[in-house]
Amino acid sequence: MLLNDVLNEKGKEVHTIPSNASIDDVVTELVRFNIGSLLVRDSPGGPILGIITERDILRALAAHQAPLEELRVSTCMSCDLITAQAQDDITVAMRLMTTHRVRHLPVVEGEALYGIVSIGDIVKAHHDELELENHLMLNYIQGGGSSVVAS
Amino acid sequence: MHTTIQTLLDRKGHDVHSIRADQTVFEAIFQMDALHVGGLIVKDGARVVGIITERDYLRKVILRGRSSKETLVETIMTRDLESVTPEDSVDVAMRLMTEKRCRHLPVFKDGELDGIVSIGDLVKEIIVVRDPGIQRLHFQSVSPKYQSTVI
Repeated sequence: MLLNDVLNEKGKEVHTIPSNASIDDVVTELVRFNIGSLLVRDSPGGPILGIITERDILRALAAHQAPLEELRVSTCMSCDLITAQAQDDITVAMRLMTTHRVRHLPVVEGEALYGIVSIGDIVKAHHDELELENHLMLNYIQGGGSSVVAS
Repeated sequence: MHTTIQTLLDRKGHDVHSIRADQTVFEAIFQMDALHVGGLIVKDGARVVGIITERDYLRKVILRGRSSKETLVETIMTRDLESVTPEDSVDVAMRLMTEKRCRHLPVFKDGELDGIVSIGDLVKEIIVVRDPGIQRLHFQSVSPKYQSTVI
């Protein structure tokens, strides 16, 4: 299954936040949309400056111990973005996530931002693929094998 | 996937990071950050009473305006634990995480805590199995046996 397929099913909407917003604002947005990360950009259609995740917030709080409204996105975000291509298989996304220890991958098509996938999306996609395989296999066995092959 | 949780734990180890229910959320955050984990098992003495994750912290402390230094772990922890046994398959764990939208599952063997699996552990396991799987399916689809069935 390709990341393009995953995004077609879950949607391509990407939530963003400006770099001068507070961590308090980030938490509000994460909870509002029930997601684990926001991409950082200062203007609609502008360049992506980084990503801020639940883990970044945890790290920032442990390190700074400052009130959340005083912490800015720009000081807590990760600027080194690990991205995948829309035509990559989900296995590629899994490798990127485990190698770089990230749970969110912005998906690009060429240079343009296309969507974002989380580790939860990828595991769900893999699981759905397995279920489909099992279903087809069962049909194949119950149908004596010929119907699936012939079609 | 029929790899068992036992196999996964044999590879990964049975260590479980935990915290006491009467410690503060701030201590939990600090520990999670230091250990680079997203969740801790909560214990009352030797008894497992829940789990605390970075998501609990974001949603139940920050959002509700509580202070992490004055809030106890037991106040915000998740008490209804989803769990697996060593005999369960990785597949079962995947389904549970997808359905319950959680990223950590404690493993209980005969009622005793035996380890913990994270969504990242599952993805690592999937990668190990996935590539040979793709090759095998590809081989089957062009195998002479299937071709002769079509003819």
